[in-house]
Amino acid sequence: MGSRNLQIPSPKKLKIDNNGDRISTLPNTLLHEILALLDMKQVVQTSVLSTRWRDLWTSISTLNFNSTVFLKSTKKAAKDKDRFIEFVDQALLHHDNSSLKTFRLFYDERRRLPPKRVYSWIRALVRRNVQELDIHIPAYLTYCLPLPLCLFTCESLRVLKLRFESLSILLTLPKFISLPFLKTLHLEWVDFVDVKLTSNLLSSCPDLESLIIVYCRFAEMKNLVIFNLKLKHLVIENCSDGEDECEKDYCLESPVSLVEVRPLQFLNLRHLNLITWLSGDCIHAIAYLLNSSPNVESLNLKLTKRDVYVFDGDEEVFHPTIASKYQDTGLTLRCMYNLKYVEIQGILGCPNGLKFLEVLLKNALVLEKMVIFTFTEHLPNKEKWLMKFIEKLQKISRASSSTSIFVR
Amino acid sequence: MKDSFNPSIEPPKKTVTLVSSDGYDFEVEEEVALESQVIKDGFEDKAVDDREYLLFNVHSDTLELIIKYCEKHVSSRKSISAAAASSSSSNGEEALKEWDEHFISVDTNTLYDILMAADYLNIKSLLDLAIQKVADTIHGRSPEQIRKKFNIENDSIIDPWASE
Repeated sequence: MGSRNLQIPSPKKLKIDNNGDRISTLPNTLLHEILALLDMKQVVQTSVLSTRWRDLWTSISTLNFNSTVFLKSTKKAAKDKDRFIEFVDQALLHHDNSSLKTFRLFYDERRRLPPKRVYSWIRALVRRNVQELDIHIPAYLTYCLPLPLCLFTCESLRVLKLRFESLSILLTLPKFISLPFLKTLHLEWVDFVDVKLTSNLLSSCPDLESLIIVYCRFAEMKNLVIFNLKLKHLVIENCSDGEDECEKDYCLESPVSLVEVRPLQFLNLRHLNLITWLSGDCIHAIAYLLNSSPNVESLNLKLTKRDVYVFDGDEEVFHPTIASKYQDTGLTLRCMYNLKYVEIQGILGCPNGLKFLEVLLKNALVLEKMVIFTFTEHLPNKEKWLMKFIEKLQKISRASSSTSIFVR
Repeated sequence: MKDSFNPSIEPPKKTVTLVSSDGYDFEVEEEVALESQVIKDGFEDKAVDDREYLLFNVHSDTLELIIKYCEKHVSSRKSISAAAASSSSSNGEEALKEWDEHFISVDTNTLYDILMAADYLNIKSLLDLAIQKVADTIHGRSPEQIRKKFNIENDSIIDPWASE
């Protein structure tokens, strides 16, 4: 604590009058920052506080629309959707165009928002040089209507998040795309159809740092080229190739065989999170990603398929139905010079898993810590299995002398 | 400098003096004062023996809080990075968040003072914390409740659209 010395003798501390309305004397920039954190319903309501506040909201830079907040206090009524649309329309109409930077829309009601209206909001926002667009709405059939093309030439855009729900939207891409400042692209429930155009989309974002693709389908696409040198953060989660739709928890296998990583990719990638399982294809895909990310420092693997090999006492019980997918076909990994931390959840100690651990430990030169969460709840001989697993683990030679392994 | 005449074994930490608007001196460690971007920006341009900053807009009561915040953040950052280096798990960030939460739970007048001081001294994390707190205070309140909370006098004619 700083010591407090009286420098100039002052008989009375000069106190500011504390009883008045002080918040209203804050400069506009600070009040705007405060309002930017609130939902638009409340933001617009502040205009009735006093004359000072009346037009304040019209020049905020962030607009957050959330249907659950907007319709919270009212009983469900048929006109809810119309009231919400009217509200967004009016807010956009009254808002001072020049200051707008961020537009977030979350719509969670059963009643559907017509895509035409949503798309005209997008068009209006693109014209106002929006920098961050985050739209999270449930989709339905009429959303087959292609997204407004102007979105793909919106040069002011920094962040684009399009999250649909329950129904995939066909991503119709124009031939000419220009998103020179886009840093974050987050797509959910989107169908990628054309290899060339999808690759073109990604190569038209030279500044892209974060790419998140969740619940997307890659129907008829053989590969996807990600050639973004500045990429730091990549998430491909719960995606499928469209043929195999019953596999809801399906993720990495197909998309990663899709991801063609060119040499010297992902130089900036530091943390790699993958949700996958350990079939032969999958461990190759994981190795492939690791080989392409020489600077990765931490790896987090979450394994979702566990029912392939199960230890039953001393015996390994093998489930033949999905066996063909789990062929071990040799695995190579480059030396990892930066990998310090590995966390694996849900490992069962099947041959592929052990093989993967072996290759990883042999090549991770500076690995400090490996945490393994086993999945043993349903096993009859938990303790015995665990002992056996640890025994096997200890036999594996390690490249880094300072690696500590924790099994939980 | 005084230090050269002081034959202590450990060199004393470098300090600067912050002077509040009502004329109180606060002696703080250099790195604590540098949490303020404004002080940091002016730091190199200042003469080496001039280690005094007159903060005309910050009252001593508020400055005391601001220093407390900066000292906490400097020391937490050190212990968090020390924990990371030894790869031992720490809940330092979680604990700091809790500390922040407690720190900013003040009456609206103090909150206003902290907000203005953080803005004037340009301490980004503290400014964000204070702004979030004001937003949280407004959140979920009706216009009438907001007026009461912040002593806002209603001098306006109600806009029929906005009040809907």
